[in-house]
Amino acid sequence: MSVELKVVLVGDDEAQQNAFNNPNASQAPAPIPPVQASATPTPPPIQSQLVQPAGGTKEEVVPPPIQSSAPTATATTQTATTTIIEAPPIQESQGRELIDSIEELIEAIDAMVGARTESSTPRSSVPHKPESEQLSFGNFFEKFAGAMDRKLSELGLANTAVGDMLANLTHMVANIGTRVTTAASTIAAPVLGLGGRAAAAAPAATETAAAGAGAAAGTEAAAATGGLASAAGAAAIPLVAIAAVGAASVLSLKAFMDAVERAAGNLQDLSPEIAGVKAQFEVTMELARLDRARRIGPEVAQIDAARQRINESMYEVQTKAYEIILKGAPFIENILDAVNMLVKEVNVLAAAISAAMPRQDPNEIIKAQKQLAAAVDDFSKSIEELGKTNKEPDHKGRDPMFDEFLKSDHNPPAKAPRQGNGLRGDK
Amino acid sequence: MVRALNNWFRSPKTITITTEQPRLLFRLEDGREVEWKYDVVPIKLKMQEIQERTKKSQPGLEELDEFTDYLISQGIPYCNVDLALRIWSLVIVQFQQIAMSIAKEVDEICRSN
Repeated sequence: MSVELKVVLVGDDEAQQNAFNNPNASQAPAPIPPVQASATPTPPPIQSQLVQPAGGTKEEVVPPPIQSSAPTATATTQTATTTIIEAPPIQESQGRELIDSIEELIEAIDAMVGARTESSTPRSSVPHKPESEQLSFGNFFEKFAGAMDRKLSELGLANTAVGDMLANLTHMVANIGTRVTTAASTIAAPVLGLGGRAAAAAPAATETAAAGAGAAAGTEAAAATGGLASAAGAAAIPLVAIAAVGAASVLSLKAFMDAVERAAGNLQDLSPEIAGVKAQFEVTMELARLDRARRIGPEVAQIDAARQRINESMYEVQTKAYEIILKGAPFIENILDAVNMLVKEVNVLAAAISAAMPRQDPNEIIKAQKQLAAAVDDFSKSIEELGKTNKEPDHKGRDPMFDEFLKSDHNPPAKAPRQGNGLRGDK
Repeated sequence: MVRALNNWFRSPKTITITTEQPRLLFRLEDGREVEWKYDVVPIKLKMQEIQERTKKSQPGLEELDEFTDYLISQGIPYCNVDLALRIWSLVIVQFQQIAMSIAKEVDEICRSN
C-alpha cells in the first residue's frame, strides 16, 4: 500500500497557508529590488509536473487538495501546530506598503527613525512658541543638511565613502539640532516663565550648541548671550543628553541596518541560528559540489584538478620567467641592441649585393649605391646604440669578413683636406 | 564631557532581533513524518539574488531548479519544482510579516529611547 506524499505548512496563519496552497493566486507581484521599479502580476509559467528523481532527493509532491484558505487536512498535523510567526498579519488598510526586499526593510526603518526624530515633541501645558517659528529653526538644520549634501555632490564626493561619512555626520548633527530646538522651546519656557521671549532665546542658544556639536561649546555660547542665556544654558545640558540618547539610538539602528545590509556575512548579528545555518549551507554546498563531481564522473574532477595544477605550475613558471627577466634586464637590453645591429647588418648585405649586380640603367646603379650607403649608415648607428648600453661593445659575434667589407670604400668618400687660405686668405 | 560624549557616540551598539523558524511537515512514503525548520531571511536573500540575476520577479523553470538545489542544500527532505514554487510564494509572505514585526520592534525601541 502506497502512502501519499504530503507537505504541510505547520501553523494556522491564514495568509501563509493561502500562499503555500495557492502559489499561483497568492504570489505577490514583488518588484525586483534596485533593478526594476515595478512588476506587473503575471501568472507564473509553472505547472505541476512529475519530476523523475535523479538522486533520491527529488520526489513527486502531491499538494493538498484544498483550494480555500482554510488550514490543511489531517488532524495529526494540526494537533502539533503552534503559531510560527507571532507578527501581526499584514494590514494593508493601515496604508503601510508591503516590504518585499531587505533593502526596502532598511529604507522603511530609516524612514521610521527619521520620522520619529522629526516628530518628537514633548507634551506641555504651557503654550510654547508658534509652530512656524519652531519650523524655522528646524528648517535651518534641514537646509544645512541639504546644503551639505549639495556641496558634497558638487565636490564629486557623493556616493563615496568619505562623502557618505560626512553626509551621515551632517544629518546626525541636524537631527540633534532639530530635537534640541524642539525640546528647548517647550522646556525653557516654563523654566523661565517668560513665554514666547524665552522660547525665542533658548533655541538660539541651543541652536548654537547643536551647530557646534558639543555641549560645552553650547553652554559657553549660551552664557555669552546674557542673563536669559544662563538659564537656557542650564537647560541645554539635559537637552543635549536627550539628543545624545536619540543619536545613540540612531547609531544602534544604523549598526543594525549595516548588519542586515551586509546580508550573509553578518546575519549572525540578527540570529545565532542564522549563523549556524549559513555555516551549514557552506558545508552543504561544498558537499553538493563534490557530489556533483562524483555523479558527473571522476574524469571531470581529475581534469579540473589537473587544470588547477597546470595553472599553478604555469603561474610558477611565469613567476620564474619574470624573476629571470628582471634579473637579466640589463643584458636583455644589450641583446635587443645586438639583434637590431644584426638586422641592419643584413640590410647592408642585401644592399651590397644589389649594388654589385650588373645593371645597364645608370639610374638604377645610382639608386642601389644610395641604398647601400643608407644601410651602412643605419648599421653604424646600431653599433653606436649597442656601444651606449655596453661600454665595451662586444662584436665577437660578427663575421670578420664583414669587418673587411666595412673597411672597404663603400663608405661615403672622405672629403679632401683643405689646402691653401682660400680666395680671401682666411682659413 | 565632550570627550565622554564622543566616546559614547563611537562605542558600538547593536540590536539583536531573533525570529522564529517556520516549519514544513513532510509525510514520507514510509509513513514517517519529518519536520523541516528553515530561516526565512537567507531564503529570501537567495530569492532576491535569483531575481536580480535573471531580471525577473516571477521565477521560471531554471530559477526554480536553482532554488530547488538551494533548498536541498538547506536540508529540505525532498523538493521538486512544484514545492519550490510553493515555498517561493510562502517565503514572500513570511518575509513581509517578519519585516513588519521587525519594523514594529524598532519603532518600540525608538519610542522607549
